[in-house]
Amino acid sequence: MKIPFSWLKDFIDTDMPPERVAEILTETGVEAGCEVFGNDTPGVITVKILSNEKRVGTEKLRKCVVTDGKRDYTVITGANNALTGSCALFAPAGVTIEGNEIAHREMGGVTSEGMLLSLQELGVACQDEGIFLLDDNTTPGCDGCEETGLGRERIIEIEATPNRGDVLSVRGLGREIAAVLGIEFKDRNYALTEVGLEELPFEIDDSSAHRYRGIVIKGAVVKPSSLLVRLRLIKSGLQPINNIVDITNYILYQEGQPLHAFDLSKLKGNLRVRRAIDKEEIKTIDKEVYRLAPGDVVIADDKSAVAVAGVMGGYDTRVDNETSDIFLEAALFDPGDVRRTSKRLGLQTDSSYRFERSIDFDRLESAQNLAANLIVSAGGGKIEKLFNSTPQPYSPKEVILKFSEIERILGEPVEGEKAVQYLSRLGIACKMTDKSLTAAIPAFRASDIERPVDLIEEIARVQGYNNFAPSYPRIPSECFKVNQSFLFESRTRDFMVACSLNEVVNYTFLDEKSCDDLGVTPPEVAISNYLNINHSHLRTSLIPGVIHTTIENIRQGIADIAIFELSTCIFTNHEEKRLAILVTGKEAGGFGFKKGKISFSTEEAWSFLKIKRIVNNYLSMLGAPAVEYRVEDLSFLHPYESAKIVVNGQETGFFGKINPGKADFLDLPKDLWLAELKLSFISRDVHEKTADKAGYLYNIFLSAKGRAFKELPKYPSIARDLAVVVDEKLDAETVIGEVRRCAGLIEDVNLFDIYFVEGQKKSIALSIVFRAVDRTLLDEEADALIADIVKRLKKKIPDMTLR
Amino acid sequence: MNPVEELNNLREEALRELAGAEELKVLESLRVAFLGKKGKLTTILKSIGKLPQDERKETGALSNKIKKELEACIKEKSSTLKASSLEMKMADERMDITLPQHGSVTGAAHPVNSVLIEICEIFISMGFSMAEGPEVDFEKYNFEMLNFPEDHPARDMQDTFYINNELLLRAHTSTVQIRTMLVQPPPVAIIASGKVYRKDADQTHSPMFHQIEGLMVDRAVTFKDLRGIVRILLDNIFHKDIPIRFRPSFFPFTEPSAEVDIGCTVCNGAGCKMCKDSGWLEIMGCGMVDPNVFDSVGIDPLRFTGLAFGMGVERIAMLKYRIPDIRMLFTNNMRFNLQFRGLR
Repeated sequence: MKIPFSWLKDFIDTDMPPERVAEILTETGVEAGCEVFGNDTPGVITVKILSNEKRVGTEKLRKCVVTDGKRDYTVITGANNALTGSCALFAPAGVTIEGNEIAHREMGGVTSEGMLLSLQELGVACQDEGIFLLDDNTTPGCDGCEETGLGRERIIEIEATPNRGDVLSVRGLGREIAAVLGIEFKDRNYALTEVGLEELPFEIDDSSAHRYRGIVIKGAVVKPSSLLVRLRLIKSGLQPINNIVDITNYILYQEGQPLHAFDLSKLKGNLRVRRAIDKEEIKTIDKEVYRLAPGDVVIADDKSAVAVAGVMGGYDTRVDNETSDIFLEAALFDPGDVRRTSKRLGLQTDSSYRFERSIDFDRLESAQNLAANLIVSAGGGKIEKLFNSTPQPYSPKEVILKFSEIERILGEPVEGEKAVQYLSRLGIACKMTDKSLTAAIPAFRASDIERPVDLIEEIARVQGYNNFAPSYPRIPSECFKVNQSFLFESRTRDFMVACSLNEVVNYTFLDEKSCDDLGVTPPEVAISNYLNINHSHLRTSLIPGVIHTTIENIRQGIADIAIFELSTCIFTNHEEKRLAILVTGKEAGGFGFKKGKISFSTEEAWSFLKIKRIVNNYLSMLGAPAVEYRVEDLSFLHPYESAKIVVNGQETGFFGKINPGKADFLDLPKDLWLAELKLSFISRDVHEKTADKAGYLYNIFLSAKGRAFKELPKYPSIARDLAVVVDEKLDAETVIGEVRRCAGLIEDVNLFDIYFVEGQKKSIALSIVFRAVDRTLLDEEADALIADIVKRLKKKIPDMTLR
Repeated sequence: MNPVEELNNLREEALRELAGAEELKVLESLRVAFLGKKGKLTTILKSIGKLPQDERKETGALSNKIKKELEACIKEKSSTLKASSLEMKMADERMDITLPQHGSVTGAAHPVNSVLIEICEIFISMGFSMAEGPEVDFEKYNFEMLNFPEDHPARDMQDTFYINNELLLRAHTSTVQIRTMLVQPPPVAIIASGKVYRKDADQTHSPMFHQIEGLMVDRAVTFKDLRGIVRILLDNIFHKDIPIRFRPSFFPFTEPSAEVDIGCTVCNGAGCKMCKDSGWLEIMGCGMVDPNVFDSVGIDPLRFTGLAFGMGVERIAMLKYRIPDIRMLFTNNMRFNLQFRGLR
């Protein structure tokens, strides 16, 4: 909300610069900034328009003669509101406006000796149509900027927290400034100037409003508002419309009380405040048609709804240039009612904004009286009828605050008398006893201050938060526990970084199509009010994200990519932390020495076995006991170059090359490898622990901590090599596994050579280490063991031969 | 020639030749030639027995003396030659130590996670425990139990993504406060961190961002303690005695509530574009746990008090590293991410 400082000065007397006032407001809880209104433009003067004639041969241009009281100027203008007799702002030739000097200009045989100005041209952000008109009785020849406050007026802009509806007006902010500066708040109450009012026929559904008051004014004349009103509205960021509408806005801003003016002649029969009928429609003054719901509160005549209560008035009953009889409404609608309606209709107005944040119950009458008086004094007419109903009156609340509570919350005592003094500055009257105070909460703070702790905040606020010296608490240690999952994630991240991988963070959001395109598991959870159609769902895999990152980087000309992401995947009933890895392009090589010569080993490409190294080393680092790799059948992976990762018999992820078809489709390199591992399970159930879920590496990490020392060998080992020839499609692990399964004494089996031989066969060479715990093995024993192994292999792999 | 003369000649010859030996091979052949089984000196020594008794003693003593001298000389020469040969061999292996390393360079953690972990570790060192919760959470943990009344404009402070009537994407990590207090009676001293979501996207707002949040509940935790904890935190994230300002604010789940500003890290308070000429930068929110929150989790607000604080990790990363646009943090352009190598 923007408020001109000069308007605030109607309520406070201070010599303090507005910038400092804004700073103090910020420091005491109302965030405020301060800016200058428009540009100070020396040389701009006020003029009276003496004549106005259309230029022959041009569509839009008009020739005017204006006077500054001393001399006349001829000026060409495109504005169609430069009417004879009105006063305006004028820049004679030679004046510089926003860096451009106004010069004499020749147009169709006429020399224009300056420029009639709009406020926009003087640096004011507003919607101007034509030039800016001053009051008709303005003295010509005065300093135009002085007259309007351009470059002089300071505008205070505040952003109030949702609990501070009380500062959303000039008067309210004035009261707040007075309280925090400790100066006088100049307040006034207004009574209606007219007497002898009649009762207006009106019906009110008691649940629909806390208070409703209507005034009928007859015989008003609709015209532009005075310069003072228009300028104050413009400075507050509002657009002047006419004297009636402007006064309702003026009072809304000054007093914080929303008002609405109906054209009485357009209302049919009796008025009532009621709940809307299902599917009832209303066209509001923004010319939109809204469909209402039964919870909405409306003001209606005999025919239809004429206003959405607290939100916006109806188009058909609006005040226009022909209006002379007015029904002026001031009401207190329920904050929740107004908010629900405003939210549902997607229509927030100055009025609904204030209703949601509660309005000063005690101020309605005075504010409406002032509005009625101003309408009559500016536009003529007579106040004739009144309707006044208070179905839900406000009863002042009392809150008792024990002084000991102040110290318990804030950490240091505040003297009772001081507390009472602080609160009374805020308009909260207190009675004091030895040990406590009783505060009477005024209506304007009723929605915010309900409990002792709310009073404590107010006391701390006035004393100044920064006047409380810090103290340094002992952290309770009985509740400390090491968070293993934080350590687990930290170690995982550090490991990946040490493996030359770079961490990325992608959005949790994606759309179904990107999962479809890739062939990863579809999302399970959709966002009902997504921001962006591409972000309509929540991921169940990190793969689409790292693929997206890769596509974007390749687009940026970066081809060598080695990345990982450690983030959450979202499922219907749970969440999972996962780790994804993606590598493509080259892994850096470097210089090497061979026989005294420097050689440059060309950059090395990534490969299946390099990804396997990362995965396998990571699993060893976590202490995974039994890791198996099985053939994977995920559609986005290469069917013959991908593996399922099975730890302790549980599937925990996969890795492999991208499916060449998918790579083509996504315009990605075919030499691209991916991995995804399931790290931990996160339950939505408060009572379910995450650690004890099998199938997650976090569980492995925790269980790997339990280990016992094994005796070191006392006797030497004996090694034998064995080379077998098998079908080339037989996995090495099949042979190694069979060897391992031979009973006893095998300590280790190492694969050291594979080569392909004729007849679609391959030779697999193994080094087998035997050791007995209780003696030194003899050569003959080792030979016998090898013979056993060969026998077993022949039985299990019939076409195997020895090399 | 008498044997003494012969011996002296032999000695001179041997010393001359040894002095000229430049290779270990030559040295070895000289040793064999003079001191070997059939060496010249050995031959003389063998013949001493044939000499007359009176010459025998003198000649024997002299030849032994020469033998020892030559042996010592060969030993010394040998070690000199060995050293210089090793030196030559090593010189041959000279490495250009300025060549680049072999293999790929270390990776980089994401700057947001680097900052997040840095802050978490500050609190862990202080004795706080880490707590966590899901990103899709119940509406009641995100709003209701945190004292956000239904139909109250406080709900607009976090424009929230909804899944359905019951579930939403958490708008703050404060959900973890509720989750923790529901299962753990006081005392509580926890830190929660992670992704949070709000319907907001521009230069300084991302629909997904990270928060860190702390909560301490015990008997006699006070607002002054909150001021102390915040001071320690900001001293450690930024620098000791960084200017700090508490401003009254409003969060439904704390009362009193405060926003915390630090002296602008760009202009040191003189006023600049970054701080909009105020000299201050908003850095975090905090306050004393609202009694309604305690009521909602079954903790007696008359026996316990609590302090809570929370901050946006991206905001801190942007301030620390002068990153102008929050969106840069999530585009994952490698040229951007790699600038932050070594932060973790």
